[in-house]
Amino acid sequence: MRRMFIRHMGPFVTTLLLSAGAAEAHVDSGGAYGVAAGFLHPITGLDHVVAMIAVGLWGAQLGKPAIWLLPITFPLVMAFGGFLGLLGVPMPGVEIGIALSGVLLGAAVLTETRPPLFAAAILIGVFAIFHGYAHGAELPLGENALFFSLGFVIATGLLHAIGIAIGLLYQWPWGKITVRAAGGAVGAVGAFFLWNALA
Amino acid sequence: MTKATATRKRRVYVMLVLAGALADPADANAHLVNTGLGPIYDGAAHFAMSPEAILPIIALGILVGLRGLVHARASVLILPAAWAAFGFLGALFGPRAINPACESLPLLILGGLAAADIPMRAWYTALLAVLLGAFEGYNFGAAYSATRDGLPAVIGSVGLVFVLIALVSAAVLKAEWNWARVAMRVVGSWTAASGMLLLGWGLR
Repeated sequence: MRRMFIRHMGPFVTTLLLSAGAAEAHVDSGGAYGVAAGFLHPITGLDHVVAMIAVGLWGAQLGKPAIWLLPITFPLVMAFGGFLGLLGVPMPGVEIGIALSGVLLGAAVLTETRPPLFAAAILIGVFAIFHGYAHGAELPLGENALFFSLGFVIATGLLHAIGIAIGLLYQWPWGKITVRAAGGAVGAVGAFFLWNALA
Repeated sequence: MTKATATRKRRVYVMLVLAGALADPADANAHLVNTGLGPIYDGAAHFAMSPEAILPIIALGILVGLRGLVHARASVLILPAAWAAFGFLGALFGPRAINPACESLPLLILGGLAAADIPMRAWYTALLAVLLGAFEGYNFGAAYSATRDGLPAVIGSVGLVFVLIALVSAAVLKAEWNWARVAMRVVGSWTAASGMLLLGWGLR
């Protein structure tokens, strides 16, 4: 009796296994995770964070058109650096360049340096490539590329916005001191990372 | 009944069960959305859940909104028309072998142009709308080529494409303050930057 039951259950179980439901292959369940992972990537490195904020600070300190030109151009140039990093194009001294960006941008804000716009744009563009390259080289495999990229770029843009918001205090006398002090803090953090990179 | 006869009978039995199960497979709905409300809504929902198709349209809306009313009017008409025409073609002829990195080009080009805010003639933006509608519409239609509901699904998506391009371009056209235009250019810049990273990711 038992053997007969097993003999009849075999085809029944086989039929169940073959009658699979609709294949909903590649249902996007990782979109939100991809955005979150991309968003967290730039803000978990202090050397990147201070440099991004310094870009906003300096743009606000320089005034129009730098205040809006730098946040528009920086993500594009940084993404180009990320593109080079993703392709594995060799670039020596990336960590030194990133740390140097904190030192020089912080010093520029602290000393209220006002170079011509094109010189400021070139300086920031060069640093943007270093930052983008480091991020691009570290981007993890297996993420949703579009969602990760969006989160990554938005986080970078929001760091600029924080810098600009602080930099807008520059219009008041006490705000000038605050902004310059923030620049000094950025420079100090940059110097710490430069020391580590050279050690 | 001998042992050999019983074994043969059992094999035939199993073969019949297997044949019966395999003869009635369920539909494979890879990458498609099933709302249960019919193919038109399925197509609209599929579009609404495809950021890779939505983002270039937002970038185009920003570009034409920044350029002015003539550009926006042309794109609001041309983009859905091109989407529909090439979507039908995609549903008929099926997917083509396209490098995934190509998906980043609309983001890169349209976002970059919106960020740069370069003056251009209306027929340039109209051409961009045709190219975007052709590329994205064909891809969208091709995703439905294996099903019987391709054409209604494309029609459903065209409705949302029209609404999206109309809303974005109208909102940007109405941006009267300078900072609002700058904010739109920043969004264009972020879109282009995402496209650049996506391109690198695709080529990696």
